[in-house]
Amino acid sequence: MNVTSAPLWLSPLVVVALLVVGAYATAVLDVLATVVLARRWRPNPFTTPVFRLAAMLTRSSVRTERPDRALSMLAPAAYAALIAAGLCVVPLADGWSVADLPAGLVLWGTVEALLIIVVFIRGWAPNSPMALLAAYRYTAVGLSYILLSMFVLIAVALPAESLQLSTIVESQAGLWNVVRQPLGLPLFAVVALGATFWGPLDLAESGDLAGGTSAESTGVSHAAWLVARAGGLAAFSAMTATAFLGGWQGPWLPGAAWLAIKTLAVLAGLVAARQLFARVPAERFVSIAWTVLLPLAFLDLVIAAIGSL
Amino acid sequence: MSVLARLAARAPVPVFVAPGLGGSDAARRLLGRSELDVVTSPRHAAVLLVVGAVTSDLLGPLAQVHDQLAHPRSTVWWSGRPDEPLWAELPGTAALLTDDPVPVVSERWRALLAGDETEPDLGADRPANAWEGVGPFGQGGEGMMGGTPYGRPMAMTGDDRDGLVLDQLHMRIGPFLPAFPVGLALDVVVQGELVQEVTSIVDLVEDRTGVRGGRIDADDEVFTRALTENVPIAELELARARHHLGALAAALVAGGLSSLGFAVAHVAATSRPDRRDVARLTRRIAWSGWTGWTNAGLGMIDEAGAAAMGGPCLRAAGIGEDLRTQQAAYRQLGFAPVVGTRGDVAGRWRQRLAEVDQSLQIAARAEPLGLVSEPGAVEAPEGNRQADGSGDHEQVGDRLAHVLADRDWDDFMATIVSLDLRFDVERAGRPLEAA
Repeated sequence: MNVTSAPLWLSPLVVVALLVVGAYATAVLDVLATVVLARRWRPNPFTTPVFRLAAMLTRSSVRTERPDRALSMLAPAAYAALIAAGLCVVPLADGWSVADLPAGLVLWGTVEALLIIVVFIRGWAPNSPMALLAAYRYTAVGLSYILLSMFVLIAVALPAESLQLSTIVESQAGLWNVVRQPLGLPLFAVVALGATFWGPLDLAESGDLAGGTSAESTGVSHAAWLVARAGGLAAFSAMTATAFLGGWQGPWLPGAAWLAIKTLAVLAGLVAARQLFARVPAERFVSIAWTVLLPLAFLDLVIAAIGSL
Repeated sequence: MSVLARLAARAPVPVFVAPGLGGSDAARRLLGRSELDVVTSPRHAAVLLVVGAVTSDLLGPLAQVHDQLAHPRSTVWWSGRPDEPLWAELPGTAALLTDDPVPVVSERWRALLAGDETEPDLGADRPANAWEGVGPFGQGGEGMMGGTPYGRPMAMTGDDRDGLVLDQLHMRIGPFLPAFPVGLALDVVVQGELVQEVTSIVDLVEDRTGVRGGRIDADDEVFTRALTENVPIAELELARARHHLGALAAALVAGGLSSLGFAVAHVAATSRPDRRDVARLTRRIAWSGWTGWTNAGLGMIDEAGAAAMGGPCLRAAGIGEDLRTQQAAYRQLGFAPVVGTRGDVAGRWRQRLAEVDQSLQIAARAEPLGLVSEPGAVEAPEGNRQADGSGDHEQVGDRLAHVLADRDWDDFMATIVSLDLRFDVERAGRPLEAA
């Protein structure tokens, strides 16, 4: 049964619920990673995100001089909307997805590309130097990981002979893509980190630019942006689980439960990357992306093509 | 208190730390406090925590930072509050000289959430220059090319390194940019994210005639005493180790490795860091890439630049100069400078970690023997300091602009932070505390 055949009011609720739960899971895992790795800093990982969100909501909004107010409001909403659009095509269980489009993979790729623009908008809007520098820096590396994504996702589509994500999941019934395309998952993880500017690829919100694109942001807008970004990380984890780990497939448990487990596992790894790896300088990442990662993506595509013969 | 305020009261306090004279080490150790959320932008903070003494030149930038905090906001002075009317009349500002500011900061946070009065702006909310434009964004009008129309620097074009002609932005950064040296402000020309040129270096802590507040950092005071009296070598080396660990903690947090930074800050806060903890953290830091491929090749400085920086920067570049070799007590302990092979960012941090380990070893050996240093000149964490107030720090300004020019922002910030510049240390005739 396709969820789109359910009442129209249900689909947005499902997507919003997934975004909120995903954002919360990301925040919990982030605190947990810090607690485990710092070994000294011990807040409660389940309540601290809620308290922090409340703290952000108590702060007043600040207006810089001559900001682009429309873009300021648009950025967090657009980021969340794009992530929600991407989540719509992720099969949640056998026959269940909000919108099982025949070209769902293409929609996901489009979402990734548009996210770069949204982050740039976020940095442009406040009319502030640090935010703008962060936007420049983030955009400078955007093409590098978007190209990676393109080849990795095409490789995922080849064995399924389809761009439809439900078909891609079903094509992994005998063997997950992470086994027959071992390069794909780590490369896609790089894409996820870049698109959500997280961990080693946090070139948009980093401390060396006093918070980067969020340097001038506070209050509800700031909270909304961080929630959207956290939801984005969860969405990319869900897509990783779908494309490489067989999605909802698995024994004994319901399909949705398997997808949740796999998504959480990927999410834990991505979240931990922030605490484990130093931020990569922009120019260094571009060099590595074009001289190492992109050739590996080509190789991944060749492996997928040979495997599909 | 509303439900939202009650939930917020249980969150770590969002605080922006502004280090002043004699406050940088103490500010860095706050990174490991779970009660605080030390933020990188003043916009995200509710409390402005000023650590250490403040000069007259720092008050202007401090007021600008203060006004950037979103409401409701409060200022806490961990040392002493200025007596100028502008600052003295702020409601809710707490002045304290206690050892731990965190309970005061937490109390101010809860008071703000309970509805306590917020602090008003210190500066007037008006543009720096009169309106001259025609359009809504200051554009148009006579004589508007370049310069500062409507009080804002206009980006004019200039050549870039790829043969293009792109916009250049002239701006001042610092002194309160996270992990920036205390008191340092730089006027830079930025093209995209490339820092093309450093046009001026401004030391906002050089003039200490109007210092307000007192010293927080006891560690640096050890090196000042060593200039004129015998100081136990163990005390000196432990202070050195704590300083380097604190600098590393701040750099790690600014570099995105917050949990590692917290862990290092916690070790730095102990009176006697454990060598095993330092070794464990060194391995984790290496594994993260921080002292390896991530920072390799960044911030490379030549021999002349390294000689100007002195201290660990000099030794990281392969020049084994260290005043400790001239002291009999150190020779008795078999001291030999740790000498690196690369003068880049990764090399400088590896150097500091190695010197931390060496300092802990020396302290452990020197303490039972009761060895003391000789007065005169001292090898401080930043390099040599002389009793007459001179030292390695004096040459830094001449070379800094050259060292920092033509670097991407990542490289630029990583370089500055790795140099661990100390403009704020005590010098003869330049006290750290109010008279």
